[in-house]
Amino acid sequence: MNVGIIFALGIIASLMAITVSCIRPEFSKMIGLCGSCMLAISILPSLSKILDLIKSSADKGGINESYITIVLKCAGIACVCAICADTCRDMGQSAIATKLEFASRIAIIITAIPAITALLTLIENTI
Amino acid sequence: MDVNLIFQIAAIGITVAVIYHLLVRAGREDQAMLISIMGLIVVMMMVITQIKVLFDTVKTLFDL
Repeated sequence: MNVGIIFALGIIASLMAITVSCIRPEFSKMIGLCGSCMLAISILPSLSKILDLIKSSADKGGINESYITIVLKCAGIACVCAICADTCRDMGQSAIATKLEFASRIAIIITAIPAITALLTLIENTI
Repeated sequence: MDVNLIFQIAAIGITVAVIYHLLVRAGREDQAMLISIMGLIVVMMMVITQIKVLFDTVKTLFDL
């Protein structure tokens, strides 16, 4: 990952979007969507090294691997939801963006149900 | 990561706008509308490939 290229790509995509927006507004939204997708694609593979560090630290710390998987899945759902909701908002559809965020919240809670159940069982056994 | 894709989309947008204005001036407004819709569909096809790569990356990265 070359950070300079990523920053330059962001500026170039924004400039092209402004250039085309006077002539054809829908194409400027497409340029914005494509630019944000390409930026996310170039940033995300570098995230895998950070995730490996988190997983190895959790292994050394004695945390169960399934709980770390749950946490990382929730982070992934939030990441994708942010990209999609911002795209909808850029295109002027803020109602759709709100529903996407709502759906992501529910998906995150459903993903975390095993951890919540384990916690409640632990409390129940203690009491 | 290909910067050329953004330039291609901008070039298609400008070309479609020019052809649209030419056709409207020539009096063929329905063909102008069809050309603009087709340009949008072509650009959408190019963007959808990027969206697919993005979702595949997120899926493999976060084990979703």
